[in-house]
Amino acid sequence: MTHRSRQVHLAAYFPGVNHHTVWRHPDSGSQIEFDSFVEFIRTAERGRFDFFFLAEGLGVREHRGAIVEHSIAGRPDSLTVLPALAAVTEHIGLVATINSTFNDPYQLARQFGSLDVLSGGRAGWNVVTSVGAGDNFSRGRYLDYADRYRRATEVIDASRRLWTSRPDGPTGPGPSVPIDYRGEFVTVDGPFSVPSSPQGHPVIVQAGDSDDGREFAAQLADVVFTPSRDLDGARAFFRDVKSRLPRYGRAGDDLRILPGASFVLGDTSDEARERAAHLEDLAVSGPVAMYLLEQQWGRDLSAYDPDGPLPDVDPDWEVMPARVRTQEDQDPRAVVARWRAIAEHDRLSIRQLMARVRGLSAIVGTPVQVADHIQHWVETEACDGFIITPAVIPSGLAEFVDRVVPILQERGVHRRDYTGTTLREHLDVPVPELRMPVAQGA
Amino acid sequence: MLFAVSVDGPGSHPAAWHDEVVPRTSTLDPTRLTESVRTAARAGFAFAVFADRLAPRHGGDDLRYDAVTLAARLAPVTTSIGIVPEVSAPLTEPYHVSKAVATLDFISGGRAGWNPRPTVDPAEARYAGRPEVASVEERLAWADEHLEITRRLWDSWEDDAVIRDVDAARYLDAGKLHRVDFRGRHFAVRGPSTTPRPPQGHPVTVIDVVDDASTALAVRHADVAVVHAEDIDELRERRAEVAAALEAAGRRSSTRILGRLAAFGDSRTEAGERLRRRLDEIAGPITGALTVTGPVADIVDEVRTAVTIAAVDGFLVLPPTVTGGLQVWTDAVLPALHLPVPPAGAALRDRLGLTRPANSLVAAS
Repeated sequence: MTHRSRQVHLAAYFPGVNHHTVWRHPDSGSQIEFDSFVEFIRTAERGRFDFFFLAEGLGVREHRGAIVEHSIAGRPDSLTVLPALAAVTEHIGLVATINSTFNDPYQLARQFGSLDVLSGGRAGWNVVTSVGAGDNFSRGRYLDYADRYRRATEVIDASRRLWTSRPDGPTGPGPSVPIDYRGEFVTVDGPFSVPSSPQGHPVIVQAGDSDDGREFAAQLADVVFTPSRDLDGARAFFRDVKSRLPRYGRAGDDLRILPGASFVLGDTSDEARERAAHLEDLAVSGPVAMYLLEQQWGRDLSAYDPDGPLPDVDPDWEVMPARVRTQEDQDPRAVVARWRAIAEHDRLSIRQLMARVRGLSAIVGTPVQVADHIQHWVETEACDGFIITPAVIPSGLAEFVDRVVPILQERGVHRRDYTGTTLREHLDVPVPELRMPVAQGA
Repeated sequence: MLFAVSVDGPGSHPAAWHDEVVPRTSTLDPTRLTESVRTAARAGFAFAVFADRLAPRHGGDDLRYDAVTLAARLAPVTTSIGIVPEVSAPLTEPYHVSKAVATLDFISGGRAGWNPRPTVDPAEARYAGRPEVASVEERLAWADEHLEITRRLWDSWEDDAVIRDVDAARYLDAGKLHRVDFRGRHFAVRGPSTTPRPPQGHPVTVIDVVDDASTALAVRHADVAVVHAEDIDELRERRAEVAAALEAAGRRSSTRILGRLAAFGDSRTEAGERLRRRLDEIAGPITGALTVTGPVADIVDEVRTAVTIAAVDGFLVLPPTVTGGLQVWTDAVLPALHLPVPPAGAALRDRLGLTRPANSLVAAS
C-alpha cells in the first residue's frame, strides 16, 4: 500500500484558565487585550495550522470558597472575539467551546452560522455539556447529567437543520426549507435568517471522553479533542472511536482525533529538559502546588509547607472523588498511592511532586525530536495531529512555528501553504449529510 | 450635534428588503459592510447601531447576521466610530451578554455599546421555540433585571484586579473581584464575570423609547435614549418627558437624547419625494422617525431646525437604503453640518461627552 504520508493536523489553543500557562515568565503577555489574540492567531496562521481554539469559561475558578488567585483568569467572550479575529486572518479556522446547556439553541445556531459565513467558512463549535456552573444562568440549571447529553444531541441536530435550510440557488441564497424541529428538549420552528456557509455548516468538535461522548462524536463530530494519554492509551482510544464510525455510514478519515499537547524546545535534549524544568518551576508555584494537592486530598492542607514532604494525613475519601478529574485514573486511592511512592522514591517535596504529576505534560526535546514525536503518533494512528498550547502566551507559539513546523513541512507531512479556504478543507473532512444513523449501537 | 447611523441589512426602509430595491447579495458581503461603516465613520457619525432580528420581517425571506457577531467582525477594521449591536435580550443570558459586550469593548479599543431590545415579537418567539412573555410591563420588568445584572457583571472586576505579582505568585487580587449575587424574579446570577472590566467601564447603553415602560427603562439604564416620534412636535414633547424623568432621577447630565430621522434626498429637487413615494408604495412607510425629503440643502436646514425645536442632542439616522440613502448623509448632509473631527482612538463615552463610570460594586471611600 503506497500513499501519501499521513498528514499532521495542527491547531493552536489559547488558554483562558489553567495552571500550565506560565504567566510568571517575563515574556508572558496579556490574557485579555485583543493584540495578544492577534499575535497568537497570526503566528498559528503563519504555521499553516488548521484552526485556533478557545475553551469556555462559565465562571471564575474557585477553591475552598475563594477565588483562585495564582493562575491566569479573565478571558474574552469566545463568540465575540472569534469574529473579530476573522477580520484579521484569512485562512485559519476559528473554533469556540460553547456548552449546549446554558444557551438558547436557536441563538447559538445564529451566532455560529453568522461566524461561519462572515469568516468564509472557517467556524467550528466544540460542543460541551457542562455540569455545574449553573449559578450564573437561568437556562439549563435543572438538567441532570444524562439529560444534558441528550439535549446536546438535539441542539446539534436542530442547528444542522437550520444551517442547511437555505441552500444556494442560482442567484444566491434560496428560500428556506421548513424546519419544524420537535425534540424532547429543543423545539425550533424556523425559518432561519443566516445565509448558508461555503463549508456547508460549522465543524463540530467534541471533547467528552465517556462512552456517551464517544458515541456522540462518532455520530455527529468532525473533530475529537482528547486529553493527553500515553501512546498505547491514545492508540486504543483512536481505534475505539474510529471503529464506531461505520455505524453512522462514515469513513475513518471523516473524523479527526486531536489530543491537546504542550511542547518545550531546546538545541539539545538536555537543554530542552532544563528549560522544561525551569518552566515547571515557574508554573507550579507554592500556592499552585497546594491547590493541586488539596484538590486531590479534599481537605484543608494550609498547615503544610509546599517545599516540605507530602502530608502524613490521608485524603478525605468522602469529599475527594467528586473533585478528581474523570479522565485520569478512576481510583483516587490508586492515584494517591502512586504519588506517595514517587515522592518517597525520588525524595520530592510537594511542589516538586506536583510539577512531576500535574506539570506541563509537554513534548520536550529538540525541534527534530518534537517533530519525530508528532509524526510517529500520527503515523502509528495514535491521533491525527495535536492541539498545541505554548507555555508562554502569546509569544511562545512562534518557537514551534519557526522551528518544528518547517521540519514537518520538509518531511511532507504538513502543508507548506493552505490549499483550501474553509476549515473543512483544512481538516480534509466532508460536509456531513443529514441523515438518520444506519444502525443503532448495541 | 450628535449623529448615529442605523445599519439594518439593506436599509431601514421596509422596502429595502425587496430585491428589486437593494440587491440582497450586496448587503451580506463583509467587505462591503466594512466599507459602508468606514464611510460612515469618516463622515462623522459617532456610532453605528447594528439592527438585530431573529426571524424574517419582510416577506419571509430576509437574510441577516447576528448583530453582535457582525459588529465584532467590523470592530477591528474600523476606527473612531462606535460599534453598537442591537441585542435581542430574551434570547440571551445576561451573563453571556455582559461578556460579549465587554469583549466588543476590548476588541474595539473602547468604542463599544449595545442596544438591548427588551422584547421579541410573537413570530420571533415562535421561530426560536421560546414561550412568549406575557405583558409589556412584564417583559420590561424582565429587561430591567437583565440590564441591571449586565451592568453589575461589568463591575464585578475592578479595573486593577489583575496584579501579576510574580514574587508572591498572585495573578489576581481576589479582593478586587466581586460577586453579583443578584436574586430577582426572573434571574439569579452569582458572578463574578469571566471577563474583566471593559475599557470604558460600562460600554454605552442605547435604549429605544417608544412608550412609558421603555421610558422608565431608559431612565434607569440609558446612556443614550433614542426617542421614537414621527413629527417634530411629538418629538419635542416626548423628549421633554424623557428629560424631565431623567432630571427627576438625577441622571440628566449622564444621558444623551436622540431622535430618529429618515431622509430621502438627492441633489435634485423632486427626486427625494419620488423615492419616498416609491418605497412607501412597496412596503409602507418607515415608522417612529421624522421623515425629511428634498434636495440636500433642504435636508440640512430641516435637520438644524429639528434639533433646535425638539431640543434633542442629535439624531439616529435611518438610511432608507444602504446604497443611496446612506450616501446622501456621508457625501452631503454631514459635511454641510461641519461636525467636529473626533480625536483618534477616542472612547465612545468620550465622544458622547459621558464620563467613565465609577465601579458600582466598590464602596465609595
